Amino acid sequence: MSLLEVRDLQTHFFTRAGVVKAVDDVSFDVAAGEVIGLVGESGSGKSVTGLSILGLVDSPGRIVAGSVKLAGQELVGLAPAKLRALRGQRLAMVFQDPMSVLNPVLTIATQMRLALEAHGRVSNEAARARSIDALTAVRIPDAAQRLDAYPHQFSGGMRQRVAIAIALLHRPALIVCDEPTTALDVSIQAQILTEMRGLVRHLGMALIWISHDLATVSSLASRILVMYAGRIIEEGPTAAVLRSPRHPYSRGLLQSLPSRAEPGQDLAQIPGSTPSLLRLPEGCSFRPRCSEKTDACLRMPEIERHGARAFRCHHPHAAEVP
Amino acid sequence: MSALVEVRDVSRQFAPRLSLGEKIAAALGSAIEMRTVHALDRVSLAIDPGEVVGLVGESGCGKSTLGRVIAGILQPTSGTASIAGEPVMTGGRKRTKRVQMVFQDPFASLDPRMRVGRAIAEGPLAHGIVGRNDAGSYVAKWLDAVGLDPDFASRFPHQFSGGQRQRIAIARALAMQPDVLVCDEPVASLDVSIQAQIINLFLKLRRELGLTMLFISHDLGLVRHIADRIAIMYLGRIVESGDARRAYTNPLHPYTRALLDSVPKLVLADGEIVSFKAIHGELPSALSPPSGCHFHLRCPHAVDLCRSKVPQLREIEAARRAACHLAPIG
Repeated sequence: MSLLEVRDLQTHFFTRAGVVKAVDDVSFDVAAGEVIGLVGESGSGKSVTGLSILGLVDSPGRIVAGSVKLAGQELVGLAPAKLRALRGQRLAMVFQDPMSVLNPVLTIATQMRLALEAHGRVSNEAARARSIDALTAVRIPDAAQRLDAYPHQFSGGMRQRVAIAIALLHRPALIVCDEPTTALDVSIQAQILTEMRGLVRHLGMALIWISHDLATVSSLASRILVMYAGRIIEEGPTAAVLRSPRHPYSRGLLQSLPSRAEPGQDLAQIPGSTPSLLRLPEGCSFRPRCSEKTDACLRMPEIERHGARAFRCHHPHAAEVP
Repeated sequence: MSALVEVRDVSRQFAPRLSLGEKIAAALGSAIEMRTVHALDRVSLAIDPGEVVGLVGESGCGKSTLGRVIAGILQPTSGTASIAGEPVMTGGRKRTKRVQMVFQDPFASLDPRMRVGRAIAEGPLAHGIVGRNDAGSYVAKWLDAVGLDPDFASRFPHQFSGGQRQRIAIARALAMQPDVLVCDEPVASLDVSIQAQIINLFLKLRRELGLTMLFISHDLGLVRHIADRIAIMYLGRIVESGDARRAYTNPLHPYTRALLDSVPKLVLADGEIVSFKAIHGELPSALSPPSGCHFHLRCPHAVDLCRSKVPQLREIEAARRAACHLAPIG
């Protein structure tokens, strides 16, 4: 049995302008200790998928259908108190902006103690010791002294490390990281990626790494899910998908990377822009931008599975010849 | 060939405004800690006509400040920036029409209450580049040049996507017919699939108009694609400059090498694990930069000389310069 089973998840936002189908018909599994990369552009539904797993979708959004099971336990429709007991304990999330998580007027020590106390009684000494351990695990130097500092006394990279340390406190089975290094400089990003890889290996946590950056995901995740307009359109082992994408969108995205072209030459570009989730085109959402489209595409393609690979397309690119 | 853009020994400091209490305390003779940020420290840079120079660095390195000095938005504290021999600014005001700027965020750089056509025509009308009667066709011409429908002139910015807005911002800059375009992270806020469209637009405009560009970005892959020459900044100083391709294949400065090693690459082989040679430590504060070479605290090769003496940008090989006592590093 997988650690996490997401089935036919649909999260919609009921706005004045209409129903925004942010996540539509999303299914995937995460095994214990597995690192999954969830990639897509803005508005593809990757963040809302992450929030839906933790039951953090706020009004006007709502999970309208589907199921999210953690180690067999259904999370959709679970009482808020029960969900709260799981969040932080079994499930944790790290966001793009660490200041959206950290309270600016409390010391790190206080915030970490509160996170520990939320899931059981703990003495001050034990809380301190566990906090120092968690900060050391994310390589914050002089953790014992830094524990008494306030968030503003840390740099952006260090704040993100603190946010990760708080997520690690209860050794959750699954951490969802939503663009955690996007706001950081490349040199700091490289440090955090290296540390995350070590942590996942040592602690055996599963990780869902949400990002728009294919290269970051490829350095971390063993499996990749590509989202477009609220749906998973391709899935498979990371290197295999990046080597031979089957869906025209994944392929277009890869070919548009400057690293794939000769300097100074025009980049391969996907025409048009992502559709509004309020007015999705009929059939396949990628159809208006797709070079392979035919009349068949007016019907939404079902997800097709071939071994470890899966894609949602009537006209997939040829499979890799082994 | 003489350079079109010439930046000579430009420094720029940002001093915080003192509060009334601090002013009184200073007048009474108490020592006020001046928290001055040294954003640029004696920077020199030349750009030839028709050349695209990529300016790369991490946040806080001064790359945007340098861009703003060249674009005539910021007055340097000392030193001069000039275009074709004329200073960009004199007496605290921009004096030249030869340079225009494109900003990162097209949601902030366009007036939400001004129709796109008026936004594009505003500068050219004020400077007499185009007469009022011809403004409509002039705007249409520039909208067309950036790949937008000329009918869009009557719309407002909120009716456009991020990529389209950035095209409008580019059209607005180009309508002033500048010789030099300073682009500060022009695609950083756009989606990956839209980034390629805008990069292609820059390549096309460059071919058609022979634009000279300073392309500021933190994205090394992007700069490699678009720039002929690259300048790498660290904490207010240029640490390496020269041919872009050679900087990538054979970096001269340890910081350039470290930066290149930090960039994640696409992993295409099953089970391959890439290792990052992450630079240890963090960017020091620009309030109190380290002595000598600014990079010495994080540099794996640092020796005593690096702590005491500021390295000058010097030619290491033909047309390639680095500010490192030890360059070229093996």
